[in-house]
Amino acid sequence: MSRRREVRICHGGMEEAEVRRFEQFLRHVTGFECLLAEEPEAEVAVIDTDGDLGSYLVRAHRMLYPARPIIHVSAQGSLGRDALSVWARKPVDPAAFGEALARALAAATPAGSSDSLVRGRQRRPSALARDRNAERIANLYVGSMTDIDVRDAAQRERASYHPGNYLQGFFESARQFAGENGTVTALMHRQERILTLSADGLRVTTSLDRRSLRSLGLIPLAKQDFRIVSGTPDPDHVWQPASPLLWELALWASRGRIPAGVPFDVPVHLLRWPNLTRLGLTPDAIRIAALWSGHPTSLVLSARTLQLPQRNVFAFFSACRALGLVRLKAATEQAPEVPPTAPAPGSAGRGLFNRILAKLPGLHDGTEHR
Amino acid sequence: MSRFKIIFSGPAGAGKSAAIAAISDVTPVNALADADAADRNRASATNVGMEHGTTLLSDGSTLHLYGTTGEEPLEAARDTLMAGSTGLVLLIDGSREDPLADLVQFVGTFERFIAGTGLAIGVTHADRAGSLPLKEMAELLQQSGFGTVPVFEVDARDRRDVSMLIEALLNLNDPVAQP
Ligand SMILES: Nc1nc2c(ncn2[C@@H]2O[C@H](COP(=O)(O)OP(=O)(O)O)[C@@H](O)[C@H]2O)c(=O)[nH]1
Ligand SMILES: [Mg+2]
Repeated sequence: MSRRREVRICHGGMEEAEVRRFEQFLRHVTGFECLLAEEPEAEVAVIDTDGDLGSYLVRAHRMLYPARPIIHVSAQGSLGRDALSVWARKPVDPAAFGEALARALAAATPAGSSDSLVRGRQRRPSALARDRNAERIANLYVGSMTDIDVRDAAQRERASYHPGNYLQGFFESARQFAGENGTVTALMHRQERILTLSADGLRVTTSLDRRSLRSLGLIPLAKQDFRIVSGTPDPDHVWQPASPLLWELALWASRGRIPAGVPFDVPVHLLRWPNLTRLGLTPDAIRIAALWSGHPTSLVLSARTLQLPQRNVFAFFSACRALGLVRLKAATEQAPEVPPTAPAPGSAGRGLFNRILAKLPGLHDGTEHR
Repeated sequence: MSRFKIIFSGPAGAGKSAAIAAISDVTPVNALADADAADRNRASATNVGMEHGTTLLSDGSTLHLYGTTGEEPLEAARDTLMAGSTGLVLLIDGSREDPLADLVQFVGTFERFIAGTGLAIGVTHADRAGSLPLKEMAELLQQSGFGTVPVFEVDARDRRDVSMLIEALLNLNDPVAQP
């Protein structure tokens, strides 16, 4: 018997039970040894595009993994067709899936495998649970935007986003609605309730699996499909604290940009440290927080002073701002900015951190990749 | 090679021994760890109730971790312990009756020392507490003139959580240092 080619496959937004059925199915695919892989290390993605969220799942996956072929499993045809999209018509049998896989792999450029950023263990994160594997991939939180010249309006525009167009903004509106009406509040996508907020806005439940949630968080939403309504608690899901979700929604929407209208050159004060042990950790978050807590520094100067890509600073700022943890000093009070000076060499903290981290596995295992 | 010294303090049971053990290379020297509270108190009268762990960093430097209840009978003993240290981590048990009062008490004990170095707060036992007053603690410290102090929820047994507290402390000392 000839050895079947091994292929690492990920799904986009299947629920737990579906994933198990899918895994069973993959054992029987004609011509390939299919392994269900974590998203970052997959060679091919399989997305059911018939669901309500199908188009978001496809677009978000394409955004995160531009070179990866996607098999659209659908009764209707493939959505957002591009050179790397292959359609497998439902119901899909093992032979048809094998053929689709062969076409998908043929469509992939050799660069496709460079999607594999980090190798992680195989596991299934659930919605709102801390997903350390995803945390490893800084790309998810800060994107890949290159530094801008803030004197150039077009470049400033490129580094800005409108929270209101994203799930972040819908969440914020829902929270405001809950506060104004004193009721449990639901965010509906068409007929489906996707998020439920407690009346005090401090807790949340979601019916979405983590990847669907993230897909919705990453892509500007079609406003007409969403509604905010009074609701009742969702009996099928457990309340979770809302801030870690809002933090993450802001990161997904921001992808290394800042909310439109925020000045790039006004000092940022850190009012309170984010509870970083329980929030998605972005690259260099602790260094940036430490700088802003001692020396309020503008976004652009922070990146320069700490010698970081601007996107790391912008992403962290956007998340802190969503939680109300930062304040911009009014421009009128502003004196010319003086870069904070480094303490004399040999002072206690210098370089120590990284040596500890190199030593302490678990803290740095990829969470701070540039 | 450099030596760095981090002090852990906080109420009994907050997780000082657990935190030091989570970071240390070898099981910390702590003859008192298994003693019951009465024994611990009795012992602390003679022994200062201190424990110590170390970890060797990749460049050969050592990080020394000391745990203290802050109940040194002589203030001079505390000064000796604090001398040359890089910062203080206060572990506050979030499941106790009044964690804010505990914070105030311990900040008071170490006030003189905090002014000269860094401070980070880890609030422990979240699993047994309803909700943690992280925000209230941060605001209290801010209003008391300690600046924007990192206040994290931590499980003292979790190496990553404790490392992050230490990391915040060290970066506060020197945010501009290049990694
Ligand atoms: N559930 C829980 N237990 C903890 C936590 N931190 C420490 N412990 C446990 O609490 C007990 C007291 O901790 P210990 O380190 O001896 O406290 P110390 O008196 O400050 O040294 C030990 O059994 C620890 O394992 C935490 O965050 N959650
Ligand atoms: Mg102890």
